[in-house]
Order: sequence, then C-alpha cells, then structure tokens
Amino acid sequence: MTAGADRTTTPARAGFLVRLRGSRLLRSRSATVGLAILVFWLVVAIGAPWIAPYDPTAIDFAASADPSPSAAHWLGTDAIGRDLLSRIIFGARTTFLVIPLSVFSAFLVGAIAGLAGGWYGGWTDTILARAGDVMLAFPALVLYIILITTFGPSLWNIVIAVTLTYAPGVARLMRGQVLAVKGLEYVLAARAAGESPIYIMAAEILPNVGTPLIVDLCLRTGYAVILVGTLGFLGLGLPPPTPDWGGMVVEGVNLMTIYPHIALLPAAAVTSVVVACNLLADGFRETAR
Amino acid sequence: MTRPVLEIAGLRVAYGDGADVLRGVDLTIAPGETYGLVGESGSGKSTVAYAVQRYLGGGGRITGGRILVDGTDIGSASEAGLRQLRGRRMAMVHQNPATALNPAMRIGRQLAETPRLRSGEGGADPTAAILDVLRRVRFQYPEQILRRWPHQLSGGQLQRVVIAMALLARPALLLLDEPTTGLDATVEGEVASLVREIADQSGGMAILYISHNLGLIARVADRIGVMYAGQIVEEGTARQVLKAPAHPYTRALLASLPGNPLIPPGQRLRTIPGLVPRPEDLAPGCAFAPRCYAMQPGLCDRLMPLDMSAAPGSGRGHVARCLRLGDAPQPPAEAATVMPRRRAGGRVVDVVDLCRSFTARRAFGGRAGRVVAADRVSFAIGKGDILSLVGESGSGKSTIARILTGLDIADSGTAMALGTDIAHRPAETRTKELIAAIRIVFQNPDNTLNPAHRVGRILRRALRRGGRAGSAEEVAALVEAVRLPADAADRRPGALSGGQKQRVAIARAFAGRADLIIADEPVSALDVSVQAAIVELLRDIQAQHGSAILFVSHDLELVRHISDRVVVLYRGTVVEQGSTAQVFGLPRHPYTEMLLAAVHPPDPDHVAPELPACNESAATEAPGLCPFLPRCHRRLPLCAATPPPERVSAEGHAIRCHHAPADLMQLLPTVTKG
Amino acid sequence: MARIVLNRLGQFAFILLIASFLLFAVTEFSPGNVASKILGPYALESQVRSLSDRLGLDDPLFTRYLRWLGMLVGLVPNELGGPATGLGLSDPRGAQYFGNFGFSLMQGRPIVDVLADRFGHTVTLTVWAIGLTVPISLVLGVLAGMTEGSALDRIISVTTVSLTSLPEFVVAVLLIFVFAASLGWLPGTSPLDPGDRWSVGSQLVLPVAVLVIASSAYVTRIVRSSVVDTLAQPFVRTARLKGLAPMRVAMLHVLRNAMIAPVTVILLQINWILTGVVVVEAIFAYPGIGRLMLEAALFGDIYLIQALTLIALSVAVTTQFLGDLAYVLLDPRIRVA
Repeated sequence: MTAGADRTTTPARAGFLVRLRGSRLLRSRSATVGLAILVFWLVVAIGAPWIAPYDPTAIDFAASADPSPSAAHWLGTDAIGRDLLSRIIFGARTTFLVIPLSVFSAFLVGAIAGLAGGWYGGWTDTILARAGDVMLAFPALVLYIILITTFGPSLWNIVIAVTLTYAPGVARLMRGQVLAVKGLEYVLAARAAGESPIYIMAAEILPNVGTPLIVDLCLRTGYAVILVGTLGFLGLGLPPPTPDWGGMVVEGVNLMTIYPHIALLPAAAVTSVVVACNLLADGFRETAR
Repeated sequence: MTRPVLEIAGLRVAYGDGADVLRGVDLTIAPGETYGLVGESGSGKSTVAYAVQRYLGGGGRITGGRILVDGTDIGSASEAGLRQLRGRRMAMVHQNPATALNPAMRIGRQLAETPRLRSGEGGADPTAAILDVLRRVRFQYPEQILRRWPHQLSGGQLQRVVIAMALLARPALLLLDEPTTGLDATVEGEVASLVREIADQSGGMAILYISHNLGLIARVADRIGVMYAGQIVEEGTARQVLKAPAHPYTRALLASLPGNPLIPPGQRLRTIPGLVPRPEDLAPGCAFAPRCYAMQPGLCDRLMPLDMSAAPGSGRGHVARCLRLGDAPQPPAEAATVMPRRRAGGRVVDVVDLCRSFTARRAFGGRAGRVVAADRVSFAIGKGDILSLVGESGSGKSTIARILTGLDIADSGTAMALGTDIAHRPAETRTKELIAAIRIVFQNPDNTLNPAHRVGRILRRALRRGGRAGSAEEVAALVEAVRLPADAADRRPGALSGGQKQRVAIARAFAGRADLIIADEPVSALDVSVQAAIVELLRDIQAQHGSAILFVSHDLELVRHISDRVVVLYRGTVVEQGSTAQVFGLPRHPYTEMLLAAVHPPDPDHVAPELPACNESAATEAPGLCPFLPRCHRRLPLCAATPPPERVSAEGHAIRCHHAPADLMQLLPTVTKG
Repeated sequence: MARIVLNRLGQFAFILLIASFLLFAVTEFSPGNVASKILGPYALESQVRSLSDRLGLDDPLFTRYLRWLGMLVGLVPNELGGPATGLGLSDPRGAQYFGNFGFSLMQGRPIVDVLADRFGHTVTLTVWAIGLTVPISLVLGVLAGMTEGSALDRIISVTTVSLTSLPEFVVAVLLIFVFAASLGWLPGTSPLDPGDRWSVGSQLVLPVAVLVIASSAYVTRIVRSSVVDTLAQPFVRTARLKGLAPMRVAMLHVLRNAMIAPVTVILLQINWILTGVVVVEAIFAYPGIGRLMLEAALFGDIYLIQALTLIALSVAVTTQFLGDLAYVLLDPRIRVA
C-alpha cells in the first residue's frame, strides 16, 4: 500500500486550457517573444497591400543598377530591381497561407488517426501504424520532390505533401498520449458510465493530451516553415512571380559577394518565424511543468 | 555509554525557497539498535534519511541543526569524505526495488561494486562474500542470482538483492526507507522478518527503519519515533509508544486502525478529521491542533510545543511534544454507531463459473504465455451486503471487478444482475438501468477524476447518466452527502486532497440508484489517518441507499472489520469463501492461513506465526492442479496428481483443498521474537 | 531474440514493398504521361501510341509494377533499350541484369552508369558528415547533460536550440557569405573539378560543415536530454549512495543506459542527412545523387527519380531496422526475456 496521496497536489497532467487561464503562458518570456514575432508577421501578412510601399512584382529599372538600400527602397531591391521590403512583406502572405493550412491539415489527419488507433487498438491500430511507417520511410524532401514533380507545384500539392509527411508523426504522438490516458481511472470511469467513445475522446481524453500536442504543433510549424522555404529555395515552391522567401534567398545567392542583403534579408525572415515557433514551443513546455 | 552511531540535533531542511519540511528533528540511534521512524506522507520521514546521507535532491538544503554519523559531521564533510561514509559506514535501501538497480548490468556485477570499493579493483575476488550475503537474505540458489538481469527477478527478490547490496558495505548505519511498500503482504512480512533477523545478528549495526505502517514498525523496531509535520512528536520504546501512546496524534492514529482491539468488527472506526498539513500551510501553534480531539483553544492553537516532555506515568525515554501531555484524555468513542443496513434477502449479482485469461505480451511482439485471471469463479452478493475479494497482486480480483463493471468481458461463465447476464456485456452495450445499478470507485485518487473538469461538471454528468436531471440542487446534495465543503463543486481535482478526491469519486458512484458499488482498493492509496473516515463514509452512504458493496482489498484487518462475506482468490481461483467469521476462523485454506500469518497488528508483543519460506524452484505448476501448490506448506502427494475438491460445510463455508477440514484446524507454529 | 529480429526484418521488407509500390504508382500515375515524358513534348500521337504498346503502358498498374520489380532483379528485360524504339538508348550489359534501373532520359544512358559517376561523391559527403556529427554530439550532449544547469550546459543548449532553428539553406548561405564571399578562405561552390583552383578537400569543407551543424545540434539535444533523464533514475541514486566514485557512476551506470535512446536517433539521423544532402548538393553544385535527384525532378526523368527514390527508401528502411536492432541489443530487458 502506498501511503501518500492525501495532500493537495498539482496534477501531473491537466488540460492546457486550464493552464492558459490567467494567461500563465504569457508569464513565460520565451513564449511572449515567440508570440510577438508571430503576431507581427501575421499583421504584416494581412496588411501587406496597405503596408508595402511598392507592388512586389513592379520592376524599378533605375534601381536595378545599384540594388543597395536607398531612400526610395529602404531594404534595397533584388537583382532585377523589385523592392525587397515589399517582396518580404508579400512573402509573409505566402508563408502565412501555406504553413497554417498544411500544418492544420496534417494535425487534423494525424490526430484523428492517432485517436482512433490508440483508442480502438487491434487491427485498426495495426493498419494505421503500418500506413504511417510506410509514409515515414520516404525522406521528407524526396516525397515532396516526387509529388510536386508529378502533380506540379501548387498550394494544394504543398498542403498534401506536408500532410503526408507530418501526419504519421502526429498520429504516433497522439496514439502514445491516448494509450497513456486510456488506462487512467477517469477514462475507465467514463467507460463504466456507458459514455460513447466519441464523448470520451472529445471530453475526457482530448483536454488532457493538449500540452504535448500543442508543443508538437509549434515545433512542426517551425519545420514546415523550413521545408517550404527549402522547396522555394530549390525552385520547387509556388510558381513565380509570387514572392516566396526561400525563392528570394536563392535569387540572391549568386550576388552574395556584392549585394549580400538580397539573400540574407529573406533568410533572416524565414529564420525569425522558425525561431518564434521554437520559442513558443518552449513556452508551452515551461507552463506545462 | 557507547557513542551513538547516528546523532541528529535540531535538524531543519527546506526545499528551494519553500518553508522548512523538517522543523527541528532530534534523534539518536545507538549501535545495535533498530529505530523505527513512522509518519504519514509529507511528515518528512524520508527527508531525514536523505539528509543523513546529504543527498537532498530538488534544491533541498539543511537550514539548521547537525547530523553526526559515527562521529563525522555530515554537514561539513567534504564530497570525498562523504563517499567514504556512503560506501563503508552507511548504506540505504529504498522504496521500489524495481527502479533501484541498473537495468543494464547483471546482479553479480552490481553487487561486486561495493566490496571492490573496499579492496580496490585488483583486490580479492568478492564472489564468496557476495554468495554468503545472498544466502543471508534467504536466496537458496545464490549462484543463479548473480547471472540474472534485474528485470528477471520479482519485487521481493529485488528488494532482497538491494538489502544484500547494502549489507555488503558492512555499514555501521543501515537506512531503510519504506523497503516493503508496494510489495504483497506475504512478501512484506518476509522482508520485515529478514530485517529483524539481520538486526539481531548484525552485532552492532544501527538501523533506521522508515515506514508509514505501524504494524511493520512494531515488528522490527526497538525504539519508535512518530513524525508529524516535520517534527518527531513522540518517542519511546516500541512498547511504550504503541501500548501506552502519550501524544494525541499517536493515540488517534492507533485508534483509527481497523485492527484496534477496542473496536469489535462491524462497529464504527474512529476517524481523524481533516488532512495532513503541508509545510507552507502550518498555522502558529501545535501542527496537529486543527485535527486534535484534545485541542484546548487559546493554548494549542497559539503556542508551539517546543520541547519533548516526559510522558507521565511511563518509563524512561518516553517523551512527547504536547502542551497538554499531563491531562490529555484518550480519544473519544465515535458518537454514532453503524447505521442499520437493509439486508433484504435476494441477490444483486450471481457469478457462476467466470473465466478470463490474457495473453501476456512482451515488447517487440513476443508472446509470453497465458495469464489466468479468473478460473471458474463463482460467488453471489446479497442485497445490501458487503462482500470482500481478497488476494495478492495477480490474484485476479481487479479483473473480476472490471468484468462486473463492463470494462472487460469474461471468456465464459455468467454474472446475472437485474435479470441479465452482464459477464459478456461491455459497458458500451449496457442499458441505462444496468449502468446506474453497478458503479465503481477506483483505487488511485489522483487519476480517478478528470483534471480538466470541475467537480460540479463531473457530478452533473454522473447524475444524468444515472437517470436524473443533474440540477444544481442535486449536485449540491451529493456534495453534502459526502461531507465535502459546498464550494467543492466549483473546484478542479487539482485543488483537492486525495481524501477529498476519493469523496467525489464516491459521490459519483452513488449518483444513480447504485444497487452494487464496486470499491477497488478505495482507501489503500490514502494516508492512514484519512482511511477510516473514507471507509465510514462509504458505509454510511451504502446504508442509506441500501446498496451492496463488492470490496476489493488486500488489507485483511479492514476486510474483517467491514465485510459480511469474504472470497479468497489465488491466481484466479477461489480457494476459500464464506462469512467473515468463517474465513477468519478455522478451518482455513493454507493460502488464507499464509495471508493471515502476514497480518501484523501494531503490537510489539504480537507473536507472528512462522511463515514457511517460499521455495523458489518448485515448478510443480500445471493446469488443472491447485494453483497454490508451488507455494503450499501443507502439500500432499495427492496435490501433484489431481485437482483439489471444493468442500462446502453445512453453513456454506467452502474450501478448495485436498485436506479434510479437520486437518486444517491447527495453526502454524509461532516464532518467538529475539 | 532471433525471432524478434526476424519479425522486424519481415516488417521492414513489407514496408519497403508497399512504399516502392506507392512510389511506382505515383510516378507512373498515368500511362500517357510516361510515354510523353520519354518522347518529350513534341512527340506525335502515333509515336506515343506505339511506345505505349511496346512498353505495355496500358496494362493495369499492378502488372506494370510487377514487371518493374522483375526488371530490377533481372528477370524481365527492359524494352526501352536497343534500336527498335528509335531513341538511341543502349546498354552494354544487355537488357536483363540485376540492378537494372532502366535509362536516364536526361542523360540518355543507363542509370547504373549515371549512379556510378555520382554515388561515390555522396557517400564521401555523408560519411564525413556522420563521422563528425556522432563524436561532436556525443561529447557535447554528455557534457551538457552531466552538468545540467551549469554555464557550460546553458551555452551548449542555447547554441543547439538556435542552430536547430536555422534551415540548412540559411546555414549554407551564411557560411558562403562569411567564408567564401567575405574572407575568401574557401570556395563557394564544390563541383569537385580536379582542375579547379581549390583542392577537392577544401571544396568538401563547407558542404560537410552545413550538414554537421544542422544534424549535430539536434543529436546533441537528444543525447543531453537522455543523459539528464538517466541521471534522475533511482538506480543512479543507488550507485552514488553506494559510495562509487563519480567517474564510475558516470561511465558504468549513467552512460550505458543513456546511450540506448540516442543510438536509435543517430541511425535515423542518417536518413535525415539524406534530405539535407539534396539541399547542400544543390547549393554547392556538388555532383552527388542529391543534386541528381533535383535535376531529374526538374527534367521529369521518371526512371531516374524512381531509381534514386528507391535507393533513399532502402537506406531509410535499413537504418530504421538497424535502429531497432541496436535497441534490442543495448537493452537487456528486450534482449533477455
């Protein structure tokens, strides 16, 4: 017999919503900084047409002679004279459209598969797990390359590619969480009370597996930003002339020796979003403790 | 007088920036003495052991006082000096042996590390010494143990290995922190008697034995210190403290145990109100004052008893920390008697030939064989009855509880309730009536409530599932019925204590019509001082509702106290069943006999029957035969040939054994305490 | 234990089979697509028709998949070679041999030859990357984990966390900017051309550095957290309270157990490095199979894509299997039941 429980304790796992209350998340400095960066870019992305000083595709032939930052172009222009600031601002639109859509889709598919596999076990679980193993056997970038070369680069193909590569990982995480919670007494109590599986998954399990899932969401959003940036960099991103940060970096690489800002500024933009996601993940991890 | 091995004076310890968890602990242990330190969770008893080794994790630090081990000041010793002490002068045995050994190193190699410390890497081969110590901790084939990995041994075997490891250091001071917690009662008894044997033969080794279990402490300790909220509140010889307790806490604690001889079975247990305080919640005055029956307003709640004073009328060395030591009365008898129960006749559940077995699986998909959890189990629960299922871990008692609740289904057999067979109906397919009629209370209070939901929501949902409206009034009535504060409904489980959570769980179970409550070890995870109150609450509500209870427990004293009927299970087989008086009386099945022999009341004069040692290599197990055969001390040649018959007496007392009832009348011989 | 290993082997063979089918199904999604990719955009309808007939492109997908598998192991001849197709493709090994991936449409020669030119370069790159990543991350991770909370730990942790936030292409651009563009110490491209003014060794430095920086940051974090977790285990407390010297506790009790999780991760990291290789080879114009993959993708060279993806899949599945095997070997709880 274990003596011991008769004291008020903070439960090891409580719902993340419980912890968000009283904005405990914002007491974490890394979360505040991460959130601030993401909100900044989000505002920039939404307000792009009003904020950007120029049309991102408009070419200023005069400036292309010297793309360095000037009074007319604060961050300079790219090699063919397009305003870099405006292109970065509109590039935020691309990022903040592609990334949330793909990550949301990956989490929707992964979470449902993980819940179903963990809860039902047996054949459902085996088939889902094997399907996940097969998808995970494809190195992520190789899978993108195949899909995008076969079906062409489009927003939806990127979304599908991200979903296929990330959903198995999300499902594994979710399944592990479900298995950890499934045998706990409050879930057994709900089953013994004749609650439906849907109710149990939604009301008893989901609120208690939130934190690791949210941390994973932040981290994967960061990875997705890296991957989509890499696709753009490799020339497999959205077709030009849509401004795309990864694609902007590669356009600047050849001029690296003379005008390094053309490559470095969009690179910094991509990195800032990834850093923000990682900081936010850290913040959630801290508040979960 | 010889120098004490351990001398602690005014010890204060705090973790991080928190309040002191030890608030001035004094204790000394002489060579050859076994000191039992007893206390509930949060009393600081384990912290004492870690402070002695200066191994306080989690930002712990000694904020005052002094510890001398063998004359060396622990607080000022260098790291190298400490290591000298740890390997040679003191050794510790922890709770939970399963995690105390390195999983990736063979037992023999781990044991050899300690003697090698003494002799150096190139020293003499320590194998002989190791085998010798392994024999001392009662391994019959020590050579085999050396080659094993930790995961291949059982919990009891592992704990004996850990004790052997400690003994190999030939320490002057042996620290044991809850060494048997989590082990089965019979194994626990074996380890305790081993500790006593080591103490008797050690020739001068001092032992600090830490436990929450008064019975075990009575069994091993020469002197006892009772801890409460970071202080020792009473100290004396085992006999003084347990037979003539002076402090109201010790008195109340002993009185609340179900084995208390002053309270006959069936009567109400004495309860202690309130909870064990946390260090940061301590009010001025005596820490026990808020829960004390002898609390004198204006005195106990204002002044802190600073010193231990001699207990009046008791011998030398019996001291207690209480301002009213001279005039504190004995704990009052409970005012209310047990509520009369309706035992109307008729049955709520009739279980016939229930079978269930599992395929044990290993990591990476290997199969380890079948585990039988229930083998033709039959019993019936009468309306309003309390029937207890007893047995060690692996006996299948929880599986049966789960089948009745609909969390599992039987392979074969029937369980009739409300006119339907529920043995093959998972909860998802049961009718609303059935679900409301059979409810469950779980063991672990920390996981029994969903941490994301408020208590009010949990109860409202339960009321609706039980066929009621779930109005605010109904929730409030339920909260009141389990004697929780009215605002509990607005709180989340994280803000409740273990006892309070268990009260909510009981309220949830009684939200419907509750013909049968399945209580799966409902108090075994709670502090001793809170258990009695929860048991009595369960019984009160049961009496009001006229519900029957299936009580799953390993605590035989508690079972004896509250049950009408008892079913004894061993590896899924019912070996004995009958009324409480029949099972606890004679004749009794050899397994029941062994279980009862392991019960040790908090009485240093209790003479424990000698438990026959478990034969590790007896592999006479075969399907169909008596499952208890490998461990049985009364086995007959016949036992290895045919399955035992079930003999039922005229009064309904059933025993499954080849022995005739008359042969099972004599008791095991007793051992005299050295 | 042999049964566990065989069981896993079977599972991974199954995964490889399914994955290769998916690969085939996606790349040869539509039969017309295949023929027009082979013949190019200006082919006549009749030419497409006759090639489709010749190659059996109108057969059911599963039949074509089996034929493809047969061609790979040398059981079925490759119909694309020889003068009959009029594409000028020929293979000195004949139409039927083990490891026949077919022809690269981009280079107009057997894929085996194309791979032979490029494969070695990528092996050099990855061997260097892994050979440096493993010792660096083990040392840093163990140092940080053993001294959890110290200044050293904080420096290592902050650095690795920051580095994992940097995409490889950003790391590459930064390194080129500093070491090639600004300082001029190293070449900014690595075509491995012997006539180049930079030695082959110096051309390897930056590509290897990019891979090592990105993957050792991640592996270091895994090693660190595994060491921290192991240190918190009760058996480490037992070992310390036995009075063992700190070095002995660290080497025998902590590290032995702390290495179980990272070994699996390191093996999976090989798989990840293959992804990084595509990026790095593309940036540095490095003549390996990663850049070949990208070139094939942009050209639409389906047979080359199939061959390269199949290689990547085999490497991925093999490393996963080795990871499981290492786990079984390291953990006696699984090895000795």
